[in-house]
Amino acid sequence: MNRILRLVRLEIWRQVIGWSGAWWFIVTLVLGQAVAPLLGLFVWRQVPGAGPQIGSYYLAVIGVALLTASFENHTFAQAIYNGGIAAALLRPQPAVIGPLGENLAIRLWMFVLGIPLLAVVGFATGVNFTPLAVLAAVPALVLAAVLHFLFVWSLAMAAFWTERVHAVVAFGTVLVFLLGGSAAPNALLPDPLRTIAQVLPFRSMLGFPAELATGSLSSADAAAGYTVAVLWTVVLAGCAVGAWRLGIRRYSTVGA
Amino acid sequence: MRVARLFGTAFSLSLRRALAYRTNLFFDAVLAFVDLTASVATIGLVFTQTGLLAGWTAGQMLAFTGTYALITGLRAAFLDPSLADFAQQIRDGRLDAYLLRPANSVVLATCTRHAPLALVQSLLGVGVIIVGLRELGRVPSPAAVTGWALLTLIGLLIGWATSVGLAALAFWAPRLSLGVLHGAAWQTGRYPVDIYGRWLRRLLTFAFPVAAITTWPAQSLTRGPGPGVLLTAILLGGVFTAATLLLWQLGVRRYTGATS
Repeated sequence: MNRILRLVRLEIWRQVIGWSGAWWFIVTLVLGQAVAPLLGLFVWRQVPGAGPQIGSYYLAVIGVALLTASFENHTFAQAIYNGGIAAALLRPQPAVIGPLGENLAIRLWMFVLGIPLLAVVGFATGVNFTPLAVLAAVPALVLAAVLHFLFVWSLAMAAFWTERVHAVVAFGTVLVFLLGGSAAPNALLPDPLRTIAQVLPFRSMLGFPAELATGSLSSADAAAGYTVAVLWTVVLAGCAVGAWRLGIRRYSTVGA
Repeated sequence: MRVARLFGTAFSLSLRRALAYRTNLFFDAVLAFVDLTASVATIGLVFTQTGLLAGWTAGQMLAFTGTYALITGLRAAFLDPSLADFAQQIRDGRLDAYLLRPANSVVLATCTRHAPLALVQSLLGVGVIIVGLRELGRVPSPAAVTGWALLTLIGLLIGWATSVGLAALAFWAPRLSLGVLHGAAWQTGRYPVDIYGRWLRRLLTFAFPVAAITTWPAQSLTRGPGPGVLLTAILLGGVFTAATLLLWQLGVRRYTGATS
């Protein structure tokens, strides 16, 4: 286990260094990631019934979006297409370490470079967070980061079967946008859509940590949200392992 | 005329190439449908809580969303494929091929590779506009439709100018890739500029005029054409196109090709 952790740490460091030369591109990624929740903020500020916490909620959503961003359809899937994954398969380490390290490094850069944007939005909207609520959201944020990686990584493995991986991942992104809390906070969804969104995994990837951070959930709702997040993490981990085993059987690299 | 013939030939070639991969057509159609459904659903969600969004009714917002989908589909079909790897073409010298051909280089380099399947989004957009107009319960006047068509064309021209203008910066900074930034800015056109604050609204009217690209055409269709808006849009279209052509000429003068 220690060896795996050391390898992950090394991979993250290697990727952090590698991506440091592309800081300008990461700034554009930050804006790309933040634009949907920002639009949500502008729209819902026009709606009187949205409540005074809407600014804080969408600021938290932007933070969660930056810390859970996943681009495996651009990184991992491209390695499947161009045969780059063959090198990872030959190394005496789990193949997930490569995409995981790159994912965490990109998230780290995106959060660091996104701090000015978060500060501007926070200043402009007059946000209000309590330290206790933010602390309660931290485990949910970690679960969201794991869940989103597993979700996008599983979808990106569609590259083993089809060339249209971007379309597959884009479909997943639409679901996260619509039911995850970016298009509208869960509390503002009409029934039965709100209940459906609460049991699906998408809210746990984005909106749930933000709702906890703004302190808008009761203890029972928070416990239910955590239960859903943990269950879906187990399910998606199983899906990712299954997709990997099936995909790798099908994979044949250049020259094989 | 010659440019139109070139454009037509390029589209015909792209269409034949695209139709050879039927599964891709299926994926693109499903994705366009899902994307537009998400946009319409978002508007539906907002209107469960309010009857008016920054002065726009549900029917007007549907017409607006349809117009956005129509223009975005046209951009994705005719501009994005050529501009996706534009900076890369400058870096590896592939731009030489366009400069050596006996036709307008800016047209050749920026709009002769097409993705016809993206037009599915535009077709669906037209459908949403019709649904929006039905919701409004009135048929727009011929002047409103003409104003909408003209403003949509100007919007597309401004979309071309801003895309090419940003891409042309690669002549000075070849590693600069602003496609994602342009995509993010384009997203601000998903809603009328009226939802933004005063300064942002000005920015989105004059600096990156999504107001002219999506808000004004939809406004013309649902509330009737305004001569002031039309005049401003023509002016903006002219200024942005002239600035982009100037930037292109300066950039090409600076470009040294792959082997020189």
